[in-house]
Amino acid sequence: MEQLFALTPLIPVFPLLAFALIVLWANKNNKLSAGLAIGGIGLSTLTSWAVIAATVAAGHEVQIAGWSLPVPWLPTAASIFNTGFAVDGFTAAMLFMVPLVCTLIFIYAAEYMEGDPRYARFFAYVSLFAAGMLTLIVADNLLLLFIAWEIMGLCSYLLIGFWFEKDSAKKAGLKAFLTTRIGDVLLFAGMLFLYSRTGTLTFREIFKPEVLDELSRMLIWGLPASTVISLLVFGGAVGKSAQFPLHVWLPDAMEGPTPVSALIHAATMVSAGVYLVARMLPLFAIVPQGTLSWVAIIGSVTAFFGATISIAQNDIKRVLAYSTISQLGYMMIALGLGGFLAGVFHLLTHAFFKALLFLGSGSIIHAVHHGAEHADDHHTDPQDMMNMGGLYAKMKRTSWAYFAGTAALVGIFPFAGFWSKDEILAEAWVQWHEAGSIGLPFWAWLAGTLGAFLTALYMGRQIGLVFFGKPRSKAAEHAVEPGNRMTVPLLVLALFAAFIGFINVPFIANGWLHHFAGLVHEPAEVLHLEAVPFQISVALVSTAVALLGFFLGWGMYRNLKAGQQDPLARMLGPVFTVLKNKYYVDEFYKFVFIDTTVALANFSAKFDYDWVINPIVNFVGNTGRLLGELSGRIDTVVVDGMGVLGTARLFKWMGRELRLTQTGQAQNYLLVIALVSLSLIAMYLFGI
Amino acid sequence: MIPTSWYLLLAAVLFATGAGGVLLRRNTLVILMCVELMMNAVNLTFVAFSHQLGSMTGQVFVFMIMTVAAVEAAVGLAILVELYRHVKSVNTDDFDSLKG
Amino acid sequence: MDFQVPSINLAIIAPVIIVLGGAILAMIVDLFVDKDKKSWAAWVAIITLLVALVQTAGMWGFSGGTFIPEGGTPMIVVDNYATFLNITLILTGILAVLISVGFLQRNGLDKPEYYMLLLFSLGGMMLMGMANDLILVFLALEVLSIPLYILSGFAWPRPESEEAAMKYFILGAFSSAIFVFGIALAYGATGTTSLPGIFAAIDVNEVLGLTAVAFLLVGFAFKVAAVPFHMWTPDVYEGAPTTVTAFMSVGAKVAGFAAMIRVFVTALAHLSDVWVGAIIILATLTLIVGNLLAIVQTNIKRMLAYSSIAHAGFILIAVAASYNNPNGVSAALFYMFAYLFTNLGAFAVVIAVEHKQGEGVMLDDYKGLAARHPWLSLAMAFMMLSLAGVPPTGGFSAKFYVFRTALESELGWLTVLGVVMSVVSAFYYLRVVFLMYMYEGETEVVTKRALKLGLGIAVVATFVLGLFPGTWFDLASQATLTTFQAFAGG
Repeated sequence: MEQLFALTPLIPVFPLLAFALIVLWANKNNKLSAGLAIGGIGLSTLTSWAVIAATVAAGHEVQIAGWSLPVPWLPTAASIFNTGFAVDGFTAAMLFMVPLVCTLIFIYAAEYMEGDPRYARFFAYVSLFAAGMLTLIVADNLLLLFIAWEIMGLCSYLLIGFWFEKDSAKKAGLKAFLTTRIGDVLLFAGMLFLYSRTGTLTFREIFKPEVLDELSRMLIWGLPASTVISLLVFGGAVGKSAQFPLHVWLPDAMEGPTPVSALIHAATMVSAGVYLVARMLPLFAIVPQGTLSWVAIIGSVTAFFGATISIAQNDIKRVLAYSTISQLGYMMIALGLGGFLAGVFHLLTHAFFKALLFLGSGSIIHAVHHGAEHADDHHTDPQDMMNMGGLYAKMKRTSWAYFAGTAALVGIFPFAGFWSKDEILAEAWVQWHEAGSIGLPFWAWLAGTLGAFLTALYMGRQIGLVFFGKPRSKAAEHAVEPGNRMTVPLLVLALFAAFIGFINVPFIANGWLHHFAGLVHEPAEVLHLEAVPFQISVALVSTAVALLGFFLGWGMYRNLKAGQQDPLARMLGPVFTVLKNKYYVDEFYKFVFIDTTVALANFSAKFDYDWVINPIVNFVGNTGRLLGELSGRIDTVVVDGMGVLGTARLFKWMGRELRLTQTGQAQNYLLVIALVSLSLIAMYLFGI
Repeated sequence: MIPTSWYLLLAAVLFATGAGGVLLRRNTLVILMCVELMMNAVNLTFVAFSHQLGSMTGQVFVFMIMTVAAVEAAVGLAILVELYRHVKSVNTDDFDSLKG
Repeated sequence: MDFQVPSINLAIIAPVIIVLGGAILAMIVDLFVDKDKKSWAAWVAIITLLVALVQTAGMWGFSGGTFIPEGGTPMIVVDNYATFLNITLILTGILAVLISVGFLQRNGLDKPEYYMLLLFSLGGMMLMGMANDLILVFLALEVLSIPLYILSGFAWPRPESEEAAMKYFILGAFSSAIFVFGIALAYGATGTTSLPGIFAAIDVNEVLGLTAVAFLLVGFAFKVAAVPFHMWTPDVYEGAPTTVTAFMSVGAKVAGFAAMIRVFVTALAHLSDVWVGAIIILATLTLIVGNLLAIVQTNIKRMLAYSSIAHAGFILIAVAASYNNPNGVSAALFYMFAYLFTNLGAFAVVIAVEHKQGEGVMLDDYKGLAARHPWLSLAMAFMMLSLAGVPPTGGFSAKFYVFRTALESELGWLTVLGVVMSVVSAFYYLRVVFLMYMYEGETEVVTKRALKLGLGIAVVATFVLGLFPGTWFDLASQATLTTFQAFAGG
């Protein structure tokens, strides 16, 4: 069995190969392209199973310490920088989830994307995307992880903007890229600091107790190195996993084709951030300079706010998008409270049921879209839940699969989400009671429990709106169930959503996953890794709020008529409007970053013109022309609507202003050379 | 005997004059001559140092610079003549189609 | 005051002699060849360069000097540093010739003089890395620059080309006058122009020496297009024929850095505290201005011009780091080696898209390229990613080494700036990818076999340098070992 580990590096290679073959050779042939992509990820799945089998067989020690294959890569002056691959229990658990979910999504996409003019290209991109995620999982060091991370960033940009004929899709792609890029820069900075302080980026090396100890005593900018580095790393995760305040890109990512949403929201992109934090957890947990509590705070805020926004959305995919943000918050709560396994467990179960829900919503949209075409209706938005209703009668398979996914998300016994969400809340509950006072664990528990209520509420609302009552549009009346290639993956995922939770049920094999994957951070000696015992009171409370929320939502919306006012909007009034507008965060960013940048640009352009450029221009003697150009530039800065983030705007604006120095006049250039030479001499001779 | 520093001062003044000419004159031909002036100021510096230090290197260097200056002048004039055919001007202000 | 003929060993400068000899041979052959048969000159150039490449590669590990005046130090030295740079430059020449052929033919520029001038300029560039005496540095600088002035105007009677040549000439002549004045002052301060002599004699506090450092810095900064001495670059790169732009964007930069590093790190080692500050300022300005101005360009040649300025900034970080750390020199060497393939590869695509001179050079002309030319677009996308420093490309390994050395040398803020700016650079490089893959458009593309060969070499090399940078970095380290070990921190 040990030899099977050697297959690990091949896992990401298959989809990568599929990508290369599609781009270079098969791109004219749609069937072949889809076949290559599915074949590639299928082979990865099989290889992963072999590796998982090897891990299971290898026993406890390998599951903790891991098997690894270092590959010498960048030689540096003193040592060789190793990159390489590693497998431990945690990796194996991820390897079970990622390729399997990806395979199901790919099969589903083969039908969903039919008729798209860029069908082959789609499969090339998603293959590369999957290759990135798989590399990320099997990497044994931060640098390789970062490379994979960047590949995913690029792919997400290409995939979200896949339907680039739509302006909104193009913008959403850019927004996702730039927002996550903020996180990437932080992560990269953290990486550089880590490397410069420890001389290694390999996880096993960093997590040696003596290295961690050293990190907590070294200083960066007057703060302990562990604090600075872990915050920077967390910044990367906040961007990638769409945590508050960098969550704004994720809902817009819905502009991509639905299989992409499923891929991003379940198996790949957003899990990468949680995976990173889970992988680096010992660095966060160093006492007393660790930053775990930050993770828990951000997680709690995100879990609660994501859920509140979700109840006021009408777009079926946006509801799920904010739900993802909120569920990722739960994972961060667990990790932030030191509950490594609780977070990982929820990451795994969530991937299955969220993939299911997204693919299910894709089925629904697909069905409504076809219904709309059938009824020759081109105005109905096929994603708006207000246009649906009564779909249960028309698409039984999708409905049952969707119900299973909903039960899992809401946390109904014995579906997967019940076990994993419960473990997180139990973790918080136990820590609250151990502390005996109202502190962070209490607030985390409260946010989680309220979030659970809201989760049930928006899912009840969704189920009621989509599947029950009477169809509220012609399109919904004519909806038809899609074909087998779409429904079979749904049913498979539904099975997992129902039963995957049992891998870590306390009563069966003492929480098997805990022994398999939960102890990988043991050698670091900074985390308490015992499993929390099952808390019957927590389970009862959360089941009660879940049932209450669900039936409340379902009951209110089940019989909603077309054109009727949203019952929650009536109840909540202006609060609902705030939620519907997502707390105006996007508007806030636009105001703070974009509008002020433009205002600043105007001001400094004036400043530049009055104080800096003008004298030089006078000296050279062509004021008029420059002035004209300058005001033209300001106009374009103000009028030009591009630029999703202020930073992009700012850089572009600075570029434009600097461009004015390039007058095309050779003598201006000469003048600059002469003046700078003189100042250099002055600097040297007078020691300025 | 005139001290070396006088030569150096003269060279510096010549160099500055040349540089000023390059910066302030609009006529490309004059600019070319000003560059020559700068080069010759350098030559003067070399010769002065060479004399002061009693080393031949500086004087060898002068020949090199003279050669290079001649080549530069030839190439520069050729380019200018060709450009003049289109722009009908030797004024540097008129050579500004490339910018930004 | 007497003058002795120096001792001369021509075998040591064989690579330069081969390159210049090839150029002279071509001039002679030109007299006897029918004017209609034109492509022969490209063959002469390629063969010459291949012979020179073999000869140079054979000199790896050899070190020695020639043109040794009585009782003095050699004016030309060959060591691994020079050999590494010569290989870099000869490869630049080979790729430049390969991507030039088709472009020159379809624009009626296919004259043998083009290749002769290219070889002459290359000879000068190679001398820059071998020069051990400021006289030689100056001569090499002129030998490389003057053919470039002419090449910039090679597309006459296109006014843009002529204007580019004129601007390059005026600015170049002005800055070499400043440079040579710096040499004169250094000579006055130390009584010698030989680099080891200057190292031994220079006085840290003397006015002449300090002024000399400033003037020398200006000369080099102009050649490598460091801000604020960069202003000629975009205008010249835009106006010159694209093949010339490709050649000088790499060649002149490598040559400039070659001499700059040798002069500053060895001869002026005692003054390292003086020049490192200025280099850091230059690097900061270069990184910021180069990257920001690249964002707003609409012409791809101009964009690549600013991008080349930005890359000079990254190399300057390595140069700054080398004041106390010989690894800085290795990082710079490796960076230039990787940059050569990446940049010339990118230019190969630009040349293919510029189906007729002056047309197809706007960024908008890249719209929809991927749909009709998937291979070409993939190559371009790969080159853009490498320029942006995305792994696993040569550009990434190069940046990795530079940042690591900078951290070793405690240049923390400069490193952070470098990282941030490489992120900023992704904006404009990825825009090209974006345009190619996410728009529809019609662009004519002309690819000749030679160009494909050149592009292929560039892609493979960039990929290899990304995946297995170790071997090449080892060579770069060896290249610095003998020459710079003694001076670092001195």
